Amino acid sequence: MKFQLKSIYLFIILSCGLLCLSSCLSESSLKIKAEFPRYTALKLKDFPAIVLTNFLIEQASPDFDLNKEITSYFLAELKQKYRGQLAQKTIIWPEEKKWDDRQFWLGLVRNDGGGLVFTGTASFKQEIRKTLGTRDYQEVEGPFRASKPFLEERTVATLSLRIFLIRSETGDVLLKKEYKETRAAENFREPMDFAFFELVQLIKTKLFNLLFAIEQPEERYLLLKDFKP
Amino acid sequence: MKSESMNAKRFIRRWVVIILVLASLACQKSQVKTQLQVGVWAAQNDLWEEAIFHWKKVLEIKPDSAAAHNNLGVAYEKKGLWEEALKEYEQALKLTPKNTYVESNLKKIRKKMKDAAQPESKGKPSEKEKK
Repeated sequence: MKFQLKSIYLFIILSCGLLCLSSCLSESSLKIKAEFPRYTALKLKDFPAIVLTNFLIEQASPDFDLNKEITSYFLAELKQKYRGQLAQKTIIWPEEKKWDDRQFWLGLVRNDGGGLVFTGTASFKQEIRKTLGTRDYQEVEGPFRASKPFLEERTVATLSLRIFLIRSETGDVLLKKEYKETRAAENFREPMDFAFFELVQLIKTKLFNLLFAIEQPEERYLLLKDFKP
Repeated sequence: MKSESMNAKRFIRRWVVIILVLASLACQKSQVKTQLQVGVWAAQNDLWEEAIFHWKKVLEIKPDSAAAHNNLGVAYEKKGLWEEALKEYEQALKLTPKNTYVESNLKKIRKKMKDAAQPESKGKPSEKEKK
């Protein structure tokens, strides 16, 4: 009888041990890779219309109409992504700029029908910079080549945009972002448009990723069981 | 002899009761585990609504399930419900402090929210060389 009791006791302990062991050995988490939307505090769906204004040009070449290029570019891009109404408006920028002041914005964008005002400042410059380069040359006949340093010139284009999204009813700044992109090219004869469109596209991608919460692949952990603290 | 067999019967009866109680607890536990795993399966197959349903079920049975809170956080993040996701991750971390997986998820969402508030490329122009 005693032997029987002992065997029952042993069986219970063993089965409990096995249960604990199996629960300890099983996987506790799972790494998943999925497309997660980017974080944005601004919901464009809440706005029936977007009013695109002229930009305040801080620096630009006289032979390149930066304002026209920026507004027409963003208008065309917004048309593709935004389902609401789109409008354009010309504003007269005052001398004194108070970017964080609601009254300043209200004075500029009031009565725009409850829409979202898309505006900002822009500067675009192209300059020639000298950079140190190396060129291979063959000093004597043979397999060995030497490199000689020399100064080479490049055109460097820089586009800076400060984008403001303003609630026209209240003058609240809903989004304020600053972007600066630079591009260097060896070809001197390249027109300014080339650099501009490449740079504005880079900025647009970053801005639209944020505005339209475009998804990007990310990794997260899912837990398969509860842990004891 | 009779008393010995009575004792053995009593002993076995006692153990049967204990095993039944343990089994019912295990059943509840396994129900939690099943719901958790079905949710994970749904998430893996991009059925996030389904996953949310199962993880919410887990919280109905076991409100202090860190796993369900964490997984709901991931699902809400996937749906773009940032505040809800943040709350779930924080709740999960409260329930299992120093859990590296939950910490990692929370760190990522916080970074994402912080990055969105900062200006981009300011002072650090991304130079693109075109040859």
